[in-house]
Amino acid sequence: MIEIRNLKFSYSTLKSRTEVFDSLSMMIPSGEIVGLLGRNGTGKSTLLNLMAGLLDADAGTIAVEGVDVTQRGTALYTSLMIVPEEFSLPQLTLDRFVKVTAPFYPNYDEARFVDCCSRFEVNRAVRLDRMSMGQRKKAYLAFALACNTPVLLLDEPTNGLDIPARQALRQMLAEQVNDERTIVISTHAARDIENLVDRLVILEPHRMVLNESIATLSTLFGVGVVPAGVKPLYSEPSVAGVRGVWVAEGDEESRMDMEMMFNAATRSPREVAAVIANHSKL
Amino acid sequence: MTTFSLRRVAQYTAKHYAEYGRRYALIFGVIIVALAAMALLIWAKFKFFLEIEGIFQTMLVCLCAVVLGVANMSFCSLDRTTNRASLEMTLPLTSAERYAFVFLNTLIMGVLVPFAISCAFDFWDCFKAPEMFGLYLLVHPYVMVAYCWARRLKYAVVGLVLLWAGTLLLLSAISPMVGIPTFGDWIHFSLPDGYAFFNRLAPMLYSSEIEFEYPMWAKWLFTTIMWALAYAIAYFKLRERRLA
Repeated sequence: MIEIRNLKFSYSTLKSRTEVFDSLSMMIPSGEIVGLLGRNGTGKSTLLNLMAGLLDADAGTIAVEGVDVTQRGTALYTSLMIVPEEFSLPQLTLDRFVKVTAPFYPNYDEARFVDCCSRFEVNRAVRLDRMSMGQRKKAYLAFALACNTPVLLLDEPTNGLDIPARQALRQMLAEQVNDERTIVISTHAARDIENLVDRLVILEPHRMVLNESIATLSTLFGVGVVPAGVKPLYSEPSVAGVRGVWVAEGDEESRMDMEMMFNAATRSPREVAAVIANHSKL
Repeated sequence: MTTFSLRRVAQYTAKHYAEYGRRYALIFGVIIVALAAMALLIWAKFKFFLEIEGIFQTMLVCLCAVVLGVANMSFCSLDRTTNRASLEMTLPLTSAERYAFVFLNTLIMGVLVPFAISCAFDFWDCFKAPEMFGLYLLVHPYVMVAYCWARRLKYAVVGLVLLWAGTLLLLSAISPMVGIPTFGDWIHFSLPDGYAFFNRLAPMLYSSEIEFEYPMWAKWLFTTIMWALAYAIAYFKLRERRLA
């Protein structure tokens, strides 16, 4: 579980101060895959770095699996792993790198690592610094998945991956979900995680506009070709007609389109929040 | 979870040297081989200079070798760049364990290896080794402080320092006179008798030098306080592990 309370964070320089979060509070239950969406600069990567204890909040608290992230000791980092969007790896083969790094993670599973490498088609005997960016990402993702930490933070994990690798990653993430594992995926490629996530979190500048389960959103909102006479929260033209997001009537579930839901939540945040709040009261 | 595990320190040490062993060996190896070769090729002139300016020359070699050690360690700092820092800073290690590793690494790369470099330089005068080793141990806490500050400096800055120290070191093998204008006058504290090495400098330096005399216990107290302060500063600086 990840619990954030009254989080405030800003980037400061000598000349200016850029506020990123102002009293952000949210709770991510265990056992969920969370999609974290937001425009450029809204703080998705910053939020992941804050969760990982790599940045100091100006105010507020973040606890991961009950551990305050400011502690940053073994209790936190045996429970949490982050795969940044960009990273460099040492001049070692993947096998050698894993050999010297895996001992730090008590739940590391060698069989899973070999399986992930096989599905990603990663050659473990090649030096990491000689791999392309996509290959390095696959290599480190395979290692991260094999470490079996209760919390896994992925920042743009599909960025740089080829199509087969994206499909393999989706399958592996789906296989690894259990009641005790939480995976947070920050991405712009909403379609890559569409059928994968259990919860959607959407950030706007300085605030969070949506934090709700996909199951609830699918019940509360209709997504698709807008029925006649219905006023959509968001709409866009398509060859099939006007597609959009509207407030659903009845209990029928709609197939969630994350990009459409993102547009609805960012263009009509008050209306979306009101629908969710009314549902919560019931 | 324990707050300190020797096993994790050993694992971290193994990881660090697996990733950077080649880089350390390359830079230090080149310097040691070059100095040893120079000592062999020009040993007569080398020994002549030692007899006249030996102690000053050795001090210069000490300083340059240690600076080289710190610069080299800085290049090999696992959290140097943002791209590596996220992975390095989230390794399951406590602050005490990271400190123990830095203590060990600076002892090896900032003291032992520079000592080996100076032995290669003083190829024909290695009987001074025990006294010189004491000098290197004296600066170890300051080496730690320097590393903890330098480990995230820009590559260009560290590279310039490395180039300066390496060049000065190599030039010192030819002529110690290169170093004198760099340091100028000295303010000289008499140190405990165990570091008589420093005291022998006094008659050899310029008359403008200022010398302070303290009782023996004060000298040791001063040295001990400075050591403790330096080790503490290094610890708190090392705890500052943030991306920004």
